[in-house]
Amino acid sequence: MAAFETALGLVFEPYTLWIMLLSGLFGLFVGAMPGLTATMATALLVPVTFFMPPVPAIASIVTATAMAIFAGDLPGALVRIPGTPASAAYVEDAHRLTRKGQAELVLGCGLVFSVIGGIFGSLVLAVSAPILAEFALGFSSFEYFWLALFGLSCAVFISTGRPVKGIVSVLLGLALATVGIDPTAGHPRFTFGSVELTAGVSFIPAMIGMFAMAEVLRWVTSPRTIENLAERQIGNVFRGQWALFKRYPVNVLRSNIVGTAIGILPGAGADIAAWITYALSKRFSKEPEKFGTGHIEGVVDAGTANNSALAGAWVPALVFGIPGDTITAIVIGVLFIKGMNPGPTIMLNNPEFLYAIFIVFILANLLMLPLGWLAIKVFRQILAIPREFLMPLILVSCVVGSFAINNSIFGVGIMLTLGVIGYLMEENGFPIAPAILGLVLGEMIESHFMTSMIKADGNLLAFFERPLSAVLGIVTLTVWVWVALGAVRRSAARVPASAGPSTAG
Amino acid sequence: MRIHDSLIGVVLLALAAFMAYEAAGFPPMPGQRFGPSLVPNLLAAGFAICGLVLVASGLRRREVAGLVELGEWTRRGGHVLDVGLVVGGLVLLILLWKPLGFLIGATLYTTTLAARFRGGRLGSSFVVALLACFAIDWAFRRLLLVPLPQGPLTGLYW
Repeated sequence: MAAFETALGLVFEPYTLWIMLLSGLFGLFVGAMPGLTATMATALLVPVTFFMPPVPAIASIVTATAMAIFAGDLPGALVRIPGTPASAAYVEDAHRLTRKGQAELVLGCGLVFSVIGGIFGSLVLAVSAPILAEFALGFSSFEYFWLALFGLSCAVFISTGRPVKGIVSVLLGLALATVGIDPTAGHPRFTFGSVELTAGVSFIPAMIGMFAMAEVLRWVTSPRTIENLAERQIGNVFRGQWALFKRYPVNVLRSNIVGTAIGILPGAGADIAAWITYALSKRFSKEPEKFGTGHIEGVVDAGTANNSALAGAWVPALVFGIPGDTITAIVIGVLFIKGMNPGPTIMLNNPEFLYAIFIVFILANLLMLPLGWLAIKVFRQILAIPREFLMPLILVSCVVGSFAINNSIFGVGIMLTLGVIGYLMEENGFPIAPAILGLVLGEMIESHFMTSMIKADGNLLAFFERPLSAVLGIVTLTVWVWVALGAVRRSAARVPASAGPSTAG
Repeated sequence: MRIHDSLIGVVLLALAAFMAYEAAGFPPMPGQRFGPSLVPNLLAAGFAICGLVLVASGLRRREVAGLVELGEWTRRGGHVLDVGLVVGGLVLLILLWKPLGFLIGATLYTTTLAARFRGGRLGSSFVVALLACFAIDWAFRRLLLVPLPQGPLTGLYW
């Protein structure tokens, strides 16, 4: 109880509250700006959080991302461009509803159900994290190795596109993590005599490059479009929301549960939660034919799920140190920098910190109501900010952020290199998220793997000797076999098809 | 810019060979049959397998005509220059980081890009760029105490 009181004190101090308010506004701005994602908001925030105590640092990331995911609905509904990928699933319905004159209903729905989803996910986090942490205290290096590998496997196989490209992406992240002094023998690897590389590829510039710089490059190479905003004042967005809630209680509950569960699953985040719950919503709807024509049901489902996934992703991140999505991958990096090593011992060593995170989550979601309302009111002005200025300034922020981590221009070089690589990867269907997860988890996987190998004297069967490690190992291997079989089956099905004239696809 | 799967596969095979070659030079751990080279070798094996899969599937599918298919944007001449300015400007900014200092370098970079994206309006681009970069410089150097270089302006402003 004393820890909880300490946590309350940590959160409800003016400094933290100010940081949350500013980060909330920043998150709303980034989310509402088409082309800028919640992950990019986090990437740009990290260099600043670097200079804060742990609780305000985490509070700022939690608030900014929650707001960004909600704000992504605004351009989706009003100009048919999802502000973040997490709003892409229901952009068609949301925009058509706006054109039918129901902008208030759809924007309010985005706001209210984001808050419901966010609070549900936060409660699951608060209840499950301490229980899981106690359970995880009995884990040895074998279990951790499997768990981390399972996380990476999920990241690969959940990501859209071909599994082989996901695997390459994760391998790339892991390979980047091997640069520097190796964790068991202390031998420098792939450093090419560079003192800077001895410390490894710093993950913050890497992530700023892959998420922010690559995003700017994508904007530069795409045709500039001018959004036409319907000239109409937005009225009371809260009207009709209670009726919606009463009309779709099962949808809300289902989307909360599915969204949180997808968030907890390592590697899958808010965008995948939105797509899956939108599909489920259509599948179980009484009026599936209305989906895509301006029907609110899918917006309720997916709008709830993307925010609940956001909180769910923190469960494995805090308890096992294994990120649930790209945002928590960044958070884990921040926690390590702050000396708050995520994992089950965080509950023993820093319970007040864990409680503070729970409180921050609830608070951030409540803060979304007034701030979100404000964002809806000033959206026209946000959209009017010229992207022609914003993009160069984002690049300059990327430069300063990458420099500030080690006060070295070398970080900017890493940012630039990985930004270009990230851009090329996305262009060619290689997902970026697995690479970042690989980079963050690389050292942890390797040190647990090597410790286990040394304990077992090189006997691989030892990885299956402890009951829990055997279960985790078999589950992980099953995922691999299942995907391999799927790939073989798909390729076999393609052979007769490609016997005819070759088709592009 | 789309690259042929087979070409990506070949690059991955080369990367695998390079990693394995480098890893061969890592010393073993005393008393163990494995050492710092174990994980890089496993990763190299992974790259090699994925490389082979991509080479094979690339030859079978031929999604991309030629080895490299430049995107639609490269045919709109201006966009090539835009990318060149973004990336080349950043390289220059890195090279001239200390001699120019952050404020001058970043203002030049932002002005160039903004003027270019806005169809050549240099004056207003410069004013906005200067104000914004000054704010960033102030926030990071003064509030967060990041030692951003000031170049020739050292000591001339706070």
